[in-house]
Amino acid sequence: MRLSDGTAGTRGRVTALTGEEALRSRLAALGVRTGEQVGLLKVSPLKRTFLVRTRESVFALSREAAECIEVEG
Amino acid sequence: MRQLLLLGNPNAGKSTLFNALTGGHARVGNWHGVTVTALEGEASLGGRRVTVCDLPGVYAAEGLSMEERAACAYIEGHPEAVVCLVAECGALERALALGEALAEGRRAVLVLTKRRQFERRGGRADAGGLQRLLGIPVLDAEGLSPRALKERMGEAVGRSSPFQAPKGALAEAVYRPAEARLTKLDRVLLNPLGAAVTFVLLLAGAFFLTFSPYGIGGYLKGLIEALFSEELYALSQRIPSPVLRSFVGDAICKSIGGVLCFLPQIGMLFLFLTLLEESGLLSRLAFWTDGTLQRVGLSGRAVFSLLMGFGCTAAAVLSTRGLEDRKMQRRVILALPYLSCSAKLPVYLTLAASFFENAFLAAVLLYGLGVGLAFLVLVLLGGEKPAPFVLEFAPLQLPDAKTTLKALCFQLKQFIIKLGTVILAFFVLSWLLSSFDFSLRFCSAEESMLASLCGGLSWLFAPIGMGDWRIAYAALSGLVAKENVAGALELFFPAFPFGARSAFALAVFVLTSSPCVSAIAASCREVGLGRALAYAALQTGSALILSYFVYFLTGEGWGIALPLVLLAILLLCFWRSLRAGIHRYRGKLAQKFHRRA
Repeated sequence: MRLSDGTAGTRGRVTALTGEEALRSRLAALGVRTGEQVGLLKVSPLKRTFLVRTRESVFALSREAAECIEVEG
Repeated sequence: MRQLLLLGNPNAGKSTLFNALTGGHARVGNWHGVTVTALEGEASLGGRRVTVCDLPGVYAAEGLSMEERAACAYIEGHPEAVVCLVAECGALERALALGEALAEGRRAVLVLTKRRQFERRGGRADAGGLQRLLGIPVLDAEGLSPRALKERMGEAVGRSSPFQAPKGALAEAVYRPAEARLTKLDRVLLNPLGAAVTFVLLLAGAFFLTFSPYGIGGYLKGLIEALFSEELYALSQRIPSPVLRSFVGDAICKSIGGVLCFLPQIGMLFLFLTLLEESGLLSRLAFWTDGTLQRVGLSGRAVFSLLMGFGCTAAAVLSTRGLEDRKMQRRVILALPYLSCSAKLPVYLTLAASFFENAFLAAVLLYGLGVGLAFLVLVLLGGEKPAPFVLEFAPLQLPDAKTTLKALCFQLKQFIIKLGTVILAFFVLSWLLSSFDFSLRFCSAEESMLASLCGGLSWLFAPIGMGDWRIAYAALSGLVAKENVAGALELFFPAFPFGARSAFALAVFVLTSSPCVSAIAASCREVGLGRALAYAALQTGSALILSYFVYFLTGEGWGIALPLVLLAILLLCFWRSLRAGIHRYRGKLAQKFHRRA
């Protein structure tokens, strides 16, 4: 499942990261790496912005960025 | 002289460290190829003079923003410098990944910051163990006095050795991470209503304090104005020679006063926005506004510049530097003037008295119109999708007073240096043009060169019922500073003789025309002279046409114009699909030709 399809409270393990190189390394630097746990803290009303938490940090993502994260569980 | 490069993630505390080492005496550097603000300062570390360079925060080697790319290029370009990796204890693994990407094998030291916060959240880090593992000196910066910090840094830099990135995850004994948690205040801010209320209150409060005559900003502005326009001006009137008297009085006193009296308000604007950024509130605001801004092709990061645009267009343009990509920056700069800066308010209030009973309501209407136009411009220009928006939520914290003050002074200085000279030059120029006629004889305003020029331009405003050179003069004076329009109107027309329609059309013109010289100068710094002038010309031209249209609309035009306006709105709603359709058609054409070839 893509992270952008989740709702507030969704948690899971990252299985894949798609998208551009620059975005993937930025996400990796924030703790979104394959095998790591991520959680969705909040989704904006229009489902355009997502608040994500990893072990290391909390950050906001646009829909395009959230679509690049595949999670399971 | 040895060079020390401070490298680290944003929010790691590099600027605080930089200030502590250099005493805050920074020099702005221009990096080769990219004009990005870099801070360079000198420090005396352990008896040696060292140049310390504070690079902008970097997340990863292939950065997303212009500033990050410049930082990476700088490091690669200075192979002999010592890298000082600055890491927040809570984000150590991230910083080490950065070190691995950019500083592997380079002489380095590691500085750990924010240990107290980290340990409070249950994290543990062993500096000695890290030192052994990484092969470089490791230093805890928290709680050290500047003197102690400099000593320890000097000693560490002396011992600096090649950085060995750790293989695999850090052992539990050396580093136990903390839990990223949200504070209670965040729970309020993550609730839509809570966020809306909080931010509206904060922003309203900030704008009130800055721009209202009853706020601090307004008070200070009044003080400076009084000093220059009254005290010093009165002094200047004692000069016997009329030309010199006018020069010192009108050109020098009034213009310097005119520039300086803005500083308190611009300073307060910068202060509030710096506080927003330092406290972490800005990222929460960006989270909520990102959705709306995405519709017009921007990202949440742009909210900062857009908000500043309501205060001062020039300052807002300068702040667009932090945006992710150039194309977005250009779109924002083009749209910013439509967010009426505070200087336009006196003009609106003066004109509004002629076409609305409640002048304040009319001003609000005009502001709303401006916002609508700004969004319109952004939608029309909206090109490719902006880079995906990623913004970290730094823990909410009270901004550090010293860092904030330093940032504020720095930005004010930048503003004065970059724009002050341009504004002054224009003031002197306009004085020259309005005090001398073509035979360079000193004369009154009505006979001056400027009056003749405006006489030539008076036809510009004839279609809106004001073919008077004095209106053209007022509009032109808005180029130097928007308040001048109100001043000129009050000077020439104590009671505005033209009707409501003309007043409204003129207000629309002021709303949409090019911003003042300082904003154009700021745009020139960001997008180059050619573009900045082109934008200004485009905005002024379209402003004229729009004001004609509005005049027409409010008169006999309803029957013809209204269906046209509705058609235009319909077109816009389907603009995106129209463009897609056109692209598809072009694609098919291209395919056809390919096959033939």
